[in-house]
Amino acid sequence: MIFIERINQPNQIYPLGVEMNKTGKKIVYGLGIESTAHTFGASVVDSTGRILTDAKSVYIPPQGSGIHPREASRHHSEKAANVIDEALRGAGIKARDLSFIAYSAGPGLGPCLRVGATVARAIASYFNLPLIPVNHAVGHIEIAALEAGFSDPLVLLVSGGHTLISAHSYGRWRIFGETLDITIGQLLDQFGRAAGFASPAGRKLEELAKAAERYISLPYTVKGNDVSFSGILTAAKNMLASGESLEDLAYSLQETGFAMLCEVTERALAFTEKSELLVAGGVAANRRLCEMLNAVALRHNAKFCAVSSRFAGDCGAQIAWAGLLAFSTGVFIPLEKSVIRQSWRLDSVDTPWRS
Amino acid sequence: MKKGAEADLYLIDWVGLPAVKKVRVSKSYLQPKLDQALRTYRTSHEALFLKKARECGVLTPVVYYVDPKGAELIMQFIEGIRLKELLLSRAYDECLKLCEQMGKVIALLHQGDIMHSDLTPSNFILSKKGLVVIDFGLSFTSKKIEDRAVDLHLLKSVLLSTYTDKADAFFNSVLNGYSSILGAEVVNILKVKIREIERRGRYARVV
Repeated sequence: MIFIERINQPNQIYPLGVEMNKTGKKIVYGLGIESTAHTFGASVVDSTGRILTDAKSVYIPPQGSGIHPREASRHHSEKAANVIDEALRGAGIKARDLSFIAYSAGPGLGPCLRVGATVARAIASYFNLPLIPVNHAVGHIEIAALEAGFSDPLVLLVSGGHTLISAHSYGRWRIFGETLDITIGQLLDQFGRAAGFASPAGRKLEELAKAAERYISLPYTVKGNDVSFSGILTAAKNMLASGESLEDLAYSLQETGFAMLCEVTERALAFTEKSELLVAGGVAANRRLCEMLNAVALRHNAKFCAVSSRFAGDCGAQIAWAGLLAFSTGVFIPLEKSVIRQSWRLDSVDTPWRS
Repeated sequence: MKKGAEADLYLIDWVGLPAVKKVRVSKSYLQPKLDQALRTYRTSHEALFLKKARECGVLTPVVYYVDPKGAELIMQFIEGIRLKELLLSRAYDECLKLCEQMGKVIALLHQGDIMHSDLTPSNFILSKKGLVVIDFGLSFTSKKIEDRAVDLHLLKSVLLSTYTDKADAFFNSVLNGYSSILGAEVVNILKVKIREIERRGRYARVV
């Protein structure tokens, strides 16, 4: 399954005030490649700040199971050529017209990351282009910030790979709170898996929750600015096995898990006193979570924005866009050093385009 | 007086004494049962632990009145400046001393098996009498070394995100203060444990 989208946002104003077009009048194109988990994505951006294409192919595991890294990476290597071809063709350019290649260098699943990195290296070395390593979390945050038009937000990043609260200071995205174990995406997916659904199961659970009749009390674990979801997952799975209603559990799981997220977000908002609250990542597609966060923002007179579903999940555009920001400030990596980093923490990435 | 993340604070007069009324407001966006349970639980817990902490020799506001159902707590007003601001404005050496003092207070709490669970410089007020600890809503009792390490780990992350370049020095001073009460051996065990917690987290800094 490959689908391609042309995104028409002509004359989009670049929000950070960085001069993008450094080579004079010539428009520069860049390719971003995403392959951290289930999605292989490719996207073309240009130096005026437009995202021209965002092609992707998503590996779907069998019902009741999660992502098998080897199977996902096999999917990626099979689809890579087609997806990249679609991204370039949609933008009306050829690979030789590119000025840089950005790839997701981590964090993520090793076998999957290696496919994207290998493809990126091959194109970069063949056409002699600078190679830009993009941190996947930075990609999620920057594309959401672009879309929202926010310049200095407090960000809640919620996905299968991440659950953290971040704000920018001293040249990096600093972490103000995070999960101490699994992510909110994993909580939903693993509970969904126990109920027999394929990952990602968030949408399915959100639907089921609407038919719930009662709230079941589940473990609520907030430690300072951090959350922990392992206890609530075990409790919910046990209750499901002992015959509690799936709808009630889906509802209670969402209510309790999201309340924990809202609490730590609100604490970070009060602490950092930011005036913008942004939610990014796949779980940002959940309406109930956004409704709750919107109320949190209101209470603190902050603007609220959730990334649109187009850029909520993993996509090439997040890598291409963050790659463009990095390219504009001269960030690149020599081919021989272009390793992948499975556990590349957000707060270890320098972000010169924001400093 | 102040709208915090969790509660609204009012400066009031309590039979002639300046007092703080802390109201854990109902949050419309939360599931009502969960909302009520959290507010009640934390209010009664906070009152309990403010008292327990004082029994351990830690300065805390005196509780005047508590209403768990209504999620209201009235306590002594503490005059002073929060450590959060002091650490941003005072000279480096003075900051290190303040951190050391904070470490001593934390050690006293831990000595009494009290895990504060929200150790941030915002929750320490420097008053005339010394360093006062507030916000015990998330506190619990434990004898486990793991819980002590989690408590300190949280403080470490907060220091890192707020005082980035000075964070390591600040945290070391906290540990120095801590060891002056509970001994270097305990601190060494805790350091290992904190490292373990960091590695267990997502995308840990792997050395």
